[in-house]
Amino acid sequence: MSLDAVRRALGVDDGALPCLDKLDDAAAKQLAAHLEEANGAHHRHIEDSMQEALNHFPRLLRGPIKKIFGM
Amino acid sequence: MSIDRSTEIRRLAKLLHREPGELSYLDALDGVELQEIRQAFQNRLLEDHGATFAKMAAGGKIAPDALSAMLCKRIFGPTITANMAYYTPAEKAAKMISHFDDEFMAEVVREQIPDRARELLEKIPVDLMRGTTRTLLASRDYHIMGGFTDHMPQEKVAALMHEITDVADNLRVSSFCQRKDRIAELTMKFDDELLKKLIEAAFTSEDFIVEVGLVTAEMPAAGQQRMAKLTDTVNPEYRKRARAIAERQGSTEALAAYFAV
Repeated sequence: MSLDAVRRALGVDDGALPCLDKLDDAAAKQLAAHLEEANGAHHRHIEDSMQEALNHFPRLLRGPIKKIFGM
Repeated sequence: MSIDRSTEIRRLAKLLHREPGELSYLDALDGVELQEIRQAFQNRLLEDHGATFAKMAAGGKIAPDALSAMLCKRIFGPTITANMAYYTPAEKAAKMISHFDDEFMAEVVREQIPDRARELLEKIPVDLMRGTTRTLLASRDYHIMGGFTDHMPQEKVAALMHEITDVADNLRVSSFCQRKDRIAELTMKFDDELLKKLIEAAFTSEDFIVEVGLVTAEMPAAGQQRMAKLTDTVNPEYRKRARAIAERQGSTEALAAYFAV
């Protein structure tokens, strides 16, 4: 189960990166947690940067801009 | 090219916002396997927002370079700029960079994945990289510099090494480079005086001794012998210390010519 979480966090298919199978359950759990935390921090960082960029535009334009760029 | 495990642990730790010691649960994995994990994760982070950045970059393709650069600096900021760069033709990106100041450029570089910036690194004139290099050295972003060193044309790395004024910084940057063979090639071009300074700096800490050992191990026998003679000139006791560390690391064979003198 923990290995599934690691592969999900890495965005790879089931069975990809066979080296992961060398990890015991505790190690896989720890890696999954570290990857998820780093992923969350990265997403927040990108979203904050996007919001900061949008704040330069008048409020009325922000919605359409978000839509156009899929932000 | 061999993949040094300690280097890869340092790089993965940076990516995960951890200290290398916190990743001891990955002891079962070797350097190549750690690299595979790091690269998969970097790709995943990039691909999550890839479509958005591709659209944003496409919107800027027809704008004049100076205007695009101004929008990057004033509106988008370094994070978005760094990510859009992967989807911007390298030639246009290189021209835009000429409008960035060193500080903004350093912020952009801190956000980039070196493996994905290879084409851009080829196109940017080296003189535009000098100020950024000095800024990254001042902020001690050795892990960023090490990552980029692996993917930058060798002649540009050689030119940028001249910006390094503290000889120990060579070792700090090198500790995040996987291509120790390239560092070895550049180190062999140092004159004797600079090499002696490097050796003196290396023997101030065990981590540095390990690093200089990894680089020396990539040198041909003649290069290793030169390193050995210069080490003895600096301090005849140093190679005994290096040997004890190499024995612990299992690297005496790779350093055979260094210890044979």
